[in-house]
Amino acid sequence: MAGKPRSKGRQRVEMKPIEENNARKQVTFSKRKHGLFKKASELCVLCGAQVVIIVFSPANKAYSIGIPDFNMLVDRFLSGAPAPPSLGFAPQIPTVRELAKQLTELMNELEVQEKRAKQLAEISEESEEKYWWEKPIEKLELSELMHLQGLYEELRRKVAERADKLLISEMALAQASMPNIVPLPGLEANPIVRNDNPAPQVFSFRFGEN
Amino acid sequence: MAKTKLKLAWLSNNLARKNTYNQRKKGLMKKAEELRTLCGVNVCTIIFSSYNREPDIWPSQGDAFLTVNKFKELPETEQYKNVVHQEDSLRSRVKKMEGEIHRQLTKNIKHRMTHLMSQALHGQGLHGVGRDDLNYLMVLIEEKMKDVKGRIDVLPENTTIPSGVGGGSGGDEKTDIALGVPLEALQRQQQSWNMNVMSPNDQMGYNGNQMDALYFNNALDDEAFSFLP
Repeated sequence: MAGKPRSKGRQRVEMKPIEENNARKQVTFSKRKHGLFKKASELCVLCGAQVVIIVFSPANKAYSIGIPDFNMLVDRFLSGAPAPPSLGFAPQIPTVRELAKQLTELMNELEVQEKRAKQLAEISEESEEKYWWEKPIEKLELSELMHLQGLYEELRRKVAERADKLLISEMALAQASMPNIVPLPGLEANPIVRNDNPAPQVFSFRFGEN
Repeated sequence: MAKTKLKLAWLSNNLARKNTYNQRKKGLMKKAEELRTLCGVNVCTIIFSSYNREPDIWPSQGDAFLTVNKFKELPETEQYKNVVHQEDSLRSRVKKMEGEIHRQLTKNIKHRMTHLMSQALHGQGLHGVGRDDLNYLMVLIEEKMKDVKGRIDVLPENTTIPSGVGGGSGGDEKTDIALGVPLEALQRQQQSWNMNVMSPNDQMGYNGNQMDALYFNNALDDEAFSFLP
C-alpha cells in the first residue's frame, strides 16, 4: 500500500545536553514540557494528587502548571505546610471530571476505529490484486482508462437511481403518517434520516489519503 | 513496553491507586530530569499526595526553592503568561482526539467505499446500501472520475480508440466486470459517454446541483460521531 515515507519511529535519545541553542533544543523543550504537564495532569486525575511544576525555557521564559491551584500550592510549599488530610480523592471540579471521562471515551472510540482500519486494510489489499481497476491509474493504459470512465459513469447513474428510489419511498412513508402536509416538490422539508457521519458535501477522501 | 488502555478516571481500588501513584511519580520525576539534562533548564516538580505528609520533590527541596523564587521574582505578567490550567489542557486533548477520530473515520469510510465500488463494478448490485453510503460512494466516484479524466488529459493525444484493444494487456480480467455488458458495446458507448461528460447536465439522467440539494446534508456536525458498523 503506497504511503508517505514513514519516519524511523521511537528513537532512543542520548541523555546529554543538546549542544547550542538550536532548533532541536527548542523543539525538544517544547515537546517534553508538554508531555511533562500531561503526565502531571494524569497523575492528579488517577491518584488524586496535587502537583505543581515550574519550568524555565532555554530563553528563560517561565512555564508552570498547578493542579488544582498554582498559587495555593506554591504558598503551601513555601510555608512548609503539610498536605491536607482531604487529599487523594477524585478531582472535585466537575468540569475536569467530565472532560477526563470524555477523553477516556474518545480514546476507546479511537481504538475501535483503528481496529476497524486494520480489518479494512486487509480487505483492500486482497481486492487490489483481484480487480484491475484498483490498480494505480498511472499503470493503466488509455483504453483501460476510457473503459473505466464509462464504468464510473454507469455506476454513478445507478447510485443516483437508487438514491432516488430511497428518497421516494421515504417521502411516501412520511406522507403516509402526515397526510395533511403537501410535500415540497423535489426537496424535503426536513431530512428524515439522521446523519451524524461527516457530511459528504464537505467531505473529501483526499484528506484521508495515507 | 506493553501499552495498557488508560482509563482517565480516579482509581477507586486502593492498592491500584497506590501502586500507580508510586510508578507515575517516579516516571514524572524522571521526565523532569530528562528535560533538565537535555535542555539545560531549571525545572522543579512538587507533588502532594495522601501517602506522605511531606511533598515529593524533585530535584531537591533546596533546588526547588531556588526555582520557585526565581519564578516569584519575575514580574506578574510574566508569571501568569504561561500558566497551564488542567481544564484547558484536557479540553485541547479532547479536541485533538476528536480530530484523530475524524481522520480515522474518513480513512475507514474510504476503504469501505472502495470495496463497495469494486463490488458494484464487479456486477453485484447496490442492494441494501443506505443513503449515507450512497452519498459517500458518490463522492468517491466523482473523485475517481476526476482522477481518471486528469490522467487521460495528460497522456499523449489519442483520439481514436484502437480497434485491437479487446485483446490488449490484462485482457482476461476485463470480461468479468462491465455490469454484464460486452466489452465492445461498452467501447462504442464510451464515445457518446465521453461527450456527455463534457456537458453532463442535460444528457444524463440527473442534474448535478439538484442532486446536491437532495442528498447532501448541509450541517457538518463535529461533535456527534455516529460510528459506522
